[in-house]
Amino acid sequence: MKRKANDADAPSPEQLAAYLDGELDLATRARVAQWLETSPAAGALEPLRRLNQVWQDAPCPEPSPAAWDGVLQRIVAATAEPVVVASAPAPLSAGGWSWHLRMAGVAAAILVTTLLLVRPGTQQNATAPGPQAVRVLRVAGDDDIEIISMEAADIDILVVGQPPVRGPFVLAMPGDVILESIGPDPTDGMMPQVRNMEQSNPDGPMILAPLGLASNR
Amino acid sequence: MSVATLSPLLVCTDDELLARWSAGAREALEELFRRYRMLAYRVAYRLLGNEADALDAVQEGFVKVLTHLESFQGRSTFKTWLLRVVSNAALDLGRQRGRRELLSLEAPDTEDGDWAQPMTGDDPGLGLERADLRELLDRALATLPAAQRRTFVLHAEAELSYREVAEVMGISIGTVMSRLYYARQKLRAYLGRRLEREQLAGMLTGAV
Repeated sequence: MKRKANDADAPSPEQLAAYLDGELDLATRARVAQWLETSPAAGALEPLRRLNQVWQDAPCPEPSPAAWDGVLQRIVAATAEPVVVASAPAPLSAGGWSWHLRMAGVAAAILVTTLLLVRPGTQQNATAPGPQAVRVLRVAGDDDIEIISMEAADIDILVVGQPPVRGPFVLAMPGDVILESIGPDPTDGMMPQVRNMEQSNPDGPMILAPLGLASNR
Repeated sequence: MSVATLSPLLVCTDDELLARWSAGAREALEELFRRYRMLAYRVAYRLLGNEADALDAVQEGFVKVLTHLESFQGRSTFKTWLLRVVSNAALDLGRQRGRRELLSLEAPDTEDGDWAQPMTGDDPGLGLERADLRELLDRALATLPAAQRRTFVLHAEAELSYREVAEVMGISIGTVMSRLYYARQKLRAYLGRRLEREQLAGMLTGAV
């Protein structure tokens, strides 16, 4: 004689869904199956089955072969391009840095400058002469990181959201920017004031990072 | 087809194909693309709702994984890693291109809630064609919070197991189950109201 199911044996709604999805371990699956056999609420699975059916009744339209070919060609082209990354920080004696940098650079940490060149129809330019062994610069999206903790002073510099532009980053080389001054940053460290020497886009957006005095970043 | 006529790439594992591609074999990239393009596309399509954007997300996803192979250290399968990147790319694309939520997320999510706007283009006299149903599903998905939508799409469209979904999203299996539960509740509530005319609501409502 089958024991009538009672509320204490009732699986949770998540477990019912997992049962339908085939995701339960053997023991739990057997328990749920037994409950379904004797419970008047066993019809609870039917709405889930119907939702699955509605989903299956409207599959995604498939792109044309030409569309796929186009995507593949663009992937091949994009993965064949060299990734432009910053070279090692230029020595202070490299041409192009103003005398301000030489004076302030003794105390400043490494300057990280990203010059964003938004020029329609262009791709990343390999500005370094000749082939180079480069390391890929990873730029994290907001889904790539999890903030574990932060200091209150950093809240004003925490960037949340998406990059301001879509497109490749072109990292500045010596001579691309001129350091005009360095002044105290309201958060921590020093904030450089730079001038973009890129003639085609002198007002192009740039990302500058304040740097601590005591340590390189 | 005899074994002798099969491309050797067909029997290569994903890792082997990645290694071949890293060594310069373009055909290895083409095989990887052929294997996973539709799966990636279906996830992106469900997240974005249109073919053009979905193809862009697929393209961006493949480019990212292939140019960041050092990030793939074998801690997951290539499939789950690719889908993670593609779904991220799709969500980014949706935000950047201003994919407006069709219904406010603040709208009540109870079955008796008063939804913001009726379906457009619906003709009460017509049955739901597949395209209409797809549009209806797109609208329903748009009512979900991003995390629930992504979880549901990865499971229902990409047919990933709970463990694989957890791996893609970096969450626990328990969180996957919870998100799927709430996503299904909202979807059933939304679809039930709008399919009521098609006499399908009774098959969707229920105690779960």
